[in-house]
Amino acid sequence: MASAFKKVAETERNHRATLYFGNLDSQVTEVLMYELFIQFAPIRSLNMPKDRVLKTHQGFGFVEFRSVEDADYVMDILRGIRLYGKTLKLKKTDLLKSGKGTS
Amino acid sequence: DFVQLTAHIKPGVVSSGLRKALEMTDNMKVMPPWISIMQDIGKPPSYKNLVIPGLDTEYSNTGYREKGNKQYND
Repeated sequence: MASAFKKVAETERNHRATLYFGNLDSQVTEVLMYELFIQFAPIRSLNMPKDRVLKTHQGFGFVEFRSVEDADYVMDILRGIRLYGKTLKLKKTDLLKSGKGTS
Repeated sequence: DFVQLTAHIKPGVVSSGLRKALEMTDNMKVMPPWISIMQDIGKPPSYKNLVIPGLDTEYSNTGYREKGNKQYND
């Protein structure tokens, strides 16, 4: 799992196997999200962008799995789950891309 | 670093930290909420061949196992 937290080049990322996750409580960490997602599939990469000054995450991140099937399963099984009382938001990033380019 | 922080994390083992985030009891005999969803929608595609406690055997917080008892990821 040594590669899980390396920054993945945008061109190498499989967008169809990548999920955006958001609405995170400030207590949520990358390690916690790694532990949650690995319950359902092996993880290729995971990152939560940090504020440059404060070094805190900004309430969202991205996780890439090995396959589209893994990503779809994670979307299904975690629908409505709450972390520290906040409902986790999950979206396919290929849909974000084809939308208004919010990724 | 993160590699060290995640090295001990294994599928099927839910730490007390994650239990707290999920607002679950600290009783390790209580299974996480997704186990019952797996009973409905099936096992994770990448873990299809693993023995999942709570689905294939009595629940325990000890990790998914390969058939024949070897711990996954060991």
